Amino acid sequence: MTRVDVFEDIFLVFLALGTLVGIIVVSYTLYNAYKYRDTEDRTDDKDLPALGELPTGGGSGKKLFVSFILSAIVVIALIVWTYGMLLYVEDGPDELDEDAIEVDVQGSAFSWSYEYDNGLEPNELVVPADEPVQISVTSTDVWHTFGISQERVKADAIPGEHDETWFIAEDPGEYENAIECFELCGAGHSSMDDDFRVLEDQEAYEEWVDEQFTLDITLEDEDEEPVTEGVDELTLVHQEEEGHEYAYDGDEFENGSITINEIDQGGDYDVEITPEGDEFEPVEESIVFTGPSDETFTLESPEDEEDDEENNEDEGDDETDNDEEGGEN
Amino acid sequence: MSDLPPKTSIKRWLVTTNHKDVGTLYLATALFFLVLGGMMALLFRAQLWQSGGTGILSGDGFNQAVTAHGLIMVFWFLSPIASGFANYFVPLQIGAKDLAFPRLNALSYWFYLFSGIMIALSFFQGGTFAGGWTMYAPLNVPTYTPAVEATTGGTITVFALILFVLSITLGTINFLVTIHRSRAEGLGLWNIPLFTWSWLLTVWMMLFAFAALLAALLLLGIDRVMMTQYFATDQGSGLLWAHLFWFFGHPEVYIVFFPALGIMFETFQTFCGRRLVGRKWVIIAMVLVAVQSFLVWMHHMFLTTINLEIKTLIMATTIGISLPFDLMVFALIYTMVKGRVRFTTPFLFSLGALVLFILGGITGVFLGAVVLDYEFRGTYWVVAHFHYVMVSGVTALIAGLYYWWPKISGKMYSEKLGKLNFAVYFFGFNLLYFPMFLAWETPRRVFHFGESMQIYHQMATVGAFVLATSFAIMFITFGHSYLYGPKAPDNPWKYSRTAEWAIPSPPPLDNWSGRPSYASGQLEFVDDAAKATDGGVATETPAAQQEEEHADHASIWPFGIGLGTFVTFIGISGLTPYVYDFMESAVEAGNAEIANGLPAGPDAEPNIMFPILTVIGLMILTYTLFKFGVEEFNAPEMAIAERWPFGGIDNTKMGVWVFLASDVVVFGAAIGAYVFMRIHMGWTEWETIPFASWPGLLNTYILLTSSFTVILALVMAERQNKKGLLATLGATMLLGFAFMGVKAYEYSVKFGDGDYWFSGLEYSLYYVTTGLHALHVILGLIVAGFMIYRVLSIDAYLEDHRPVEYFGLYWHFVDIVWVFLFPLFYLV
Repeated sequence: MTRVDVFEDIFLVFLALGTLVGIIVVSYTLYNAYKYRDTEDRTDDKDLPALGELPTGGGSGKKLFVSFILSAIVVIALIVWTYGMLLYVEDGPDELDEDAIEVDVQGSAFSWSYEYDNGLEPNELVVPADEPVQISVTSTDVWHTFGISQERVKADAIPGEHDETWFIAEDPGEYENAIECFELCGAGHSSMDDDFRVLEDQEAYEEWVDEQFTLDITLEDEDEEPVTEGVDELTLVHQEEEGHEYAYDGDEFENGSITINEIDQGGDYDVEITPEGDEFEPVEESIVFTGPSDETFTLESPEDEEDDEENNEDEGDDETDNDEEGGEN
Repeated sequence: MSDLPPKTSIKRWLVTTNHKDVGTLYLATALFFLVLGGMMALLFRAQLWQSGGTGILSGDGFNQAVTAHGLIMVFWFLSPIASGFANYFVPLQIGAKDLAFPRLNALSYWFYLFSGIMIALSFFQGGTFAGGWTMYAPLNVPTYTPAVEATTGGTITVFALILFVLSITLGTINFLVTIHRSRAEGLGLWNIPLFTWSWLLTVWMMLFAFAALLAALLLLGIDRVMMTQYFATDQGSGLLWAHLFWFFGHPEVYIVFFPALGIMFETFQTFCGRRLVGRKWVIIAMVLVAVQSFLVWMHHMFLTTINLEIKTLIMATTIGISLPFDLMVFALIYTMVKGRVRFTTPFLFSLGALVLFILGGITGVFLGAVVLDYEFRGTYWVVAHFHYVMVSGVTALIAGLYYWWPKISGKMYSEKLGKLNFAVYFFGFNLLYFPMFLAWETPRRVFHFGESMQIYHQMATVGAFVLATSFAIMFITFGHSYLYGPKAPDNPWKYSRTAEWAIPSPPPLDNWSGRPSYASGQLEFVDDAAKATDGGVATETPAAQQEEEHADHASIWPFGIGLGTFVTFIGISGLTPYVYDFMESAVEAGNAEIANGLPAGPDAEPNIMFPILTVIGLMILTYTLFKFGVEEFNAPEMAIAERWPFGGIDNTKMGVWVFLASDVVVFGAAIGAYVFMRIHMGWTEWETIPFASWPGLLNTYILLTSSFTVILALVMAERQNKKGLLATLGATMLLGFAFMGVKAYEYSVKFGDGDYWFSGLEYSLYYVTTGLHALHVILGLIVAGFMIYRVLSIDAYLEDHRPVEYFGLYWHFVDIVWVFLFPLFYLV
């Protein structure tokens, strides 16, 4: 059951009952007001209130209690009935624990960012249809509230807190501005929207993930010409996660370039390029790989050891990986 | 016997302390703020005409408008207009001559008016507060400039709220003492009219709820001016604010709705010609709501990270609190049955209020189901629901205006115009708020919404202008009545019962021509001068009745104190840039460290005007407080009155106790903030801030000793020993100064180490909590100094030693607070 289903179930019952009760009570109120309107020929009343009397109540209140108890039963029954649904929403469907996609959502004035458990950081939220998605929401600055109305999912984004919830999207499609902020967060709050994409199925999703994990590496010399020879090996090693080590021989490069598709874990990687002999200086760099990326490394001749600063746009600040580096897709 | 200038003179309105005058001032001022808050609403409804906005407001301008609308309507319109009715009619309904403390009542009003002027001024100091009326943290502090500009105007808004809360606190103390101790003979608590009952419960709720808000606002104000870090961190700041705010905020819903409910009870009884069905149960239901209102606040936080157990508990209390309202609604409906219903304007508004409240109540049940609440949170469903509830309250308050207008103005209004007013109002209301239910997926406080929502928002915008028109008709109706209306009789309504209808319209300054009494079970006016006590339940000696004292009605000093506080608060609001510069230079010079680095600064440059205003304001305040203190003022006394359950103590003592009860909540909230933040951080990870525990221990001894000297002072006053009184009061002051000296030494050692109040969360908690206590000590020292002056100058307190006792109560309380602070900050 998706959260949309849960919501629809409860909402419709509440709406139907609420409308019914509303109509009955309001009609009864107006009926009484009309029926007991003051007319000239009314003589049926005995004990009219008088100015200055000590206040007492009128009527026995029996009817009052019956009505009160009826209304209490309706309300309490309704709420108790929804409590089971609340437990379901709190825990999530059973699949949630096993193979759910996990996304950390971060609100910052005035945009949202997403980090998938496989390290991807795309600039829109993409999920497969009919699969549970677990989200953990926080904020880097002020209080936001993350919400996708059509999926009936919402979570407060509070600095220092991680609010966890889940949803299952059913209808594939691209939804513009479907993600909204529901807590006033400053001048840009009104347009703190984001697009939301639901893919056909798990397969389409995996395809998309693979696409995201495309790393193009180009090797250049100092004249920005492709380097075609003299490269022994290029290795990529994930800085935090074990088991993500990749190596490529020089002859796997084509005209100085290689397209790598086999990586399935995003994050910070150490890049090492070793020369055959001493064709050029060995390269040791760090890259942020959180989405389709294009990396160019300049291989320097052994003589000039000093100025090696311009070879890559990202100079190894290893710890912070939340810039836009890898996100261009 | 009146020393008041005539009503046509401006001076009259500046000096008056009469409850009817103050009530009139409250009503007029509240209606002005209704118009101002309404203009804000029209402004942003115009912006909402199309998705993306019509461009008449910027993003920040829009936020300012919605924020100011909420704050002004909730604080400066809803509560004060109810205060206006209460000021005017509660004393009349209970047969009192005036409130227990008329000058404090005037002071409440001036605090209210000046706080309103402050929020109006805030627009012109870089823009008013723009973080929503709920003021969620950390958007409410200067740290996050990309999100919000930390304007001086925003700080002025916070201080305007503080001033407003001070006004409320004085008012609640006044009303609690009045209603409990000034009821006419024979009028038991159970017998007071329902409007007074609803107001009594309102003020009890206000006393505790607003104290929590005061604490929250003080911490916020200090954060904004002194750059402390209560609401600036990611260490629980957001949740702390939400807890403090909603602890106040939920009772506030009932605080603004109860007076409206009281008016509905009164008008239904009058215009149905029937006594309220189940009166006893209605009162019990209201008492239950008032108590329970403090146990439901977390239902505003269902979507935060609070756990399921707490959510379940709060869900249960929330349903629990909705049920008594069912009973009240049915009581109103059944009161019509077999009645003689007359569709006058006040009844139409009351009936309309009932219908709207039923709809608001039903849509509220949706929010009680947590699963639905998750989805409704932050959407127009909430906006629509609470407007159906709150503005249904407004509808009843308008009923009150029409109901009591003849009594206040002495003129009848035109029923035709009144009914036209109601028709336009009711249509406009529903056109404005009902489409919001249909557009419920729209997030609150945005002007970007889906195409499909546009039609509903346009309907709402049209409705807003229709509703505004209905208020124009209302003002025309009252204006027309005032100029051309026929004279109102004493009692224009058949079947009304309460005492205000038994006296002329408008009532004379002293209300009653004889002493109102219900001793015979029926309102009578007893002429005490003519006959001796008639064996009724007199609660005081007959001798007391003989004292027909001259009662004062005029004092300019409440106005002066209001003005002084106003100027001081404006001045303080603009000091942030100085503090920031100090902080910046201290950090740059290496004299101070800040845990999270230097925060973003305010958007204003230092302006010498603000320190000057602070000093001028304090000078005015000192002078006017002194004059207030030495002024001879005899409040109208009630020699015979019903006083259960507070017959045993006098008015002032009860006032002091009530004040201390609210102060307990202020300190409770401040200490609660400490406990909350420390638990959030991990209790044992806390770093003890004072450099050693001995200064705290020393100060504990000093304060306990000073409690002893205060007791001795009372003994000396009782023995009429002037020298002894001076010596003991002097000793108390010396001990107070010693305490402050030790504190100053302790602070200076910390400053020497580079640890300031802005250095980190722990430092903020330490400096602010102990500072708040030190402020109480300073206030106590000022009072003690004044008392010594009075003993020296006029031999005060030797005849009547009670003020010494009251001062002692306050002083002991401050000592007890320290007994809690010492272990929390120095030992554990």
